[in-house]
Amino acid sequence: MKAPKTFRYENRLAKTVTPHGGMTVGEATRAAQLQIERVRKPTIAHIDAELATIATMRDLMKGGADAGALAKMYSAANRIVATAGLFGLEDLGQAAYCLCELVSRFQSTGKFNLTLIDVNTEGLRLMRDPGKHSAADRQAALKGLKQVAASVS
Amino acid sequence: MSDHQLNLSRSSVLLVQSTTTELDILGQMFVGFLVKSIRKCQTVEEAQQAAGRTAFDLIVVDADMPDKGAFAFISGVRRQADGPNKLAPILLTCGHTVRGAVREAIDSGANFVVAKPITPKIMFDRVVWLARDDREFVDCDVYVGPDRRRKSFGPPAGEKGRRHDDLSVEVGAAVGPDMSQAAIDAMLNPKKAVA
Repeated sequence: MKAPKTFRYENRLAKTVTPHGGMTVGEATRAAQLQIERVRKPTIAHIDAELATIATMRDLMKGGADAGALAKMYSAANRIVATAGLFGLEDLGQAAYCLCELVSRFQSTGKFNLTLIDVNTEGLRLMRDPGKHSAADRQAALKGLKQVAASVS
Repeated sequence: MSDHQLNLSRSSVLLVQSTTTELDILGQMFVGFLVKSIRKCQTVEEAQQAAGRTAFDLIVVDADMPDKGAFAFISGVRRQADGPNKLAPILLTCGHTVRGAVREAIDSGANFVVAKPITPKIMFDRVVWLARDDREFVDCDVYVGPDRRRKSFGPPAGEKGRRHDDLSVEVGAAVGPDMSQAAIDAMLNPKKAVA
């Protein structure tokens, strides 16, 4: 067993902090936002592909729970969580987070209910076109999705 | 925190993400931050090779790498005795966070955990935070990484501190007169002198 050591060290990023000549948070945010706009189109296509995967996995479980399908559904929803909020689809990202939470609870408890999955996939469909629904309606739907996930314990 | 300026133009960044989409988004983000040296890896194996060869100023790792590979990767980087990235700042990104994952991330030696989606502002703020992180580094059998204590509350009640700068729980005898309440108030809430 080696003796524990604690020591100060040179933080490599520390040298990037500068009073002048660097980027402020405002400048950096604007420049980065312009850059990520370049990948908007492929990212939205990727989100739609993940939504299609979720729908396919849902259909695979018409007859009952399937561990592999649940895992793929979770991964697809988790990838939507990572990207949707960057391109004006924040509510879709939150709905996907609710689906992750629901699937995670199914996985840990061994319970399964296709109707609850359907509620979530319907929520995802609604959030994919946020302009068609008022902000108040979307918030109410998200609140419902959170309650659906919390009901599984 | 927003007042600080960062010049990242000479920094090198290693991005480890499980999808090309997320790699592309983060890559573009760091291009926006004027980083010129960006290495992207989509597998832990690739990342291990890159981290074993090159010293990076920042490593960003996805917690959702297959088979919990992110935690093993971070732990491996920290435990590589003469590795070029043993002390490198490591930021872990998390999507839906399963209970215990954040604890696991911290225990593997990550400097900071950030929840997705990661907007440019969130990322820049976290990089600023990392740049100003002055915690000590801990190297022992069960943990290698930045000190997990972010605040100095001293050792847990009833336990002897293990660090050389931990103060004893025993309070010694007074060495001078007690401070008056007015003196204590002045320390906590100093006022400008009026001429």
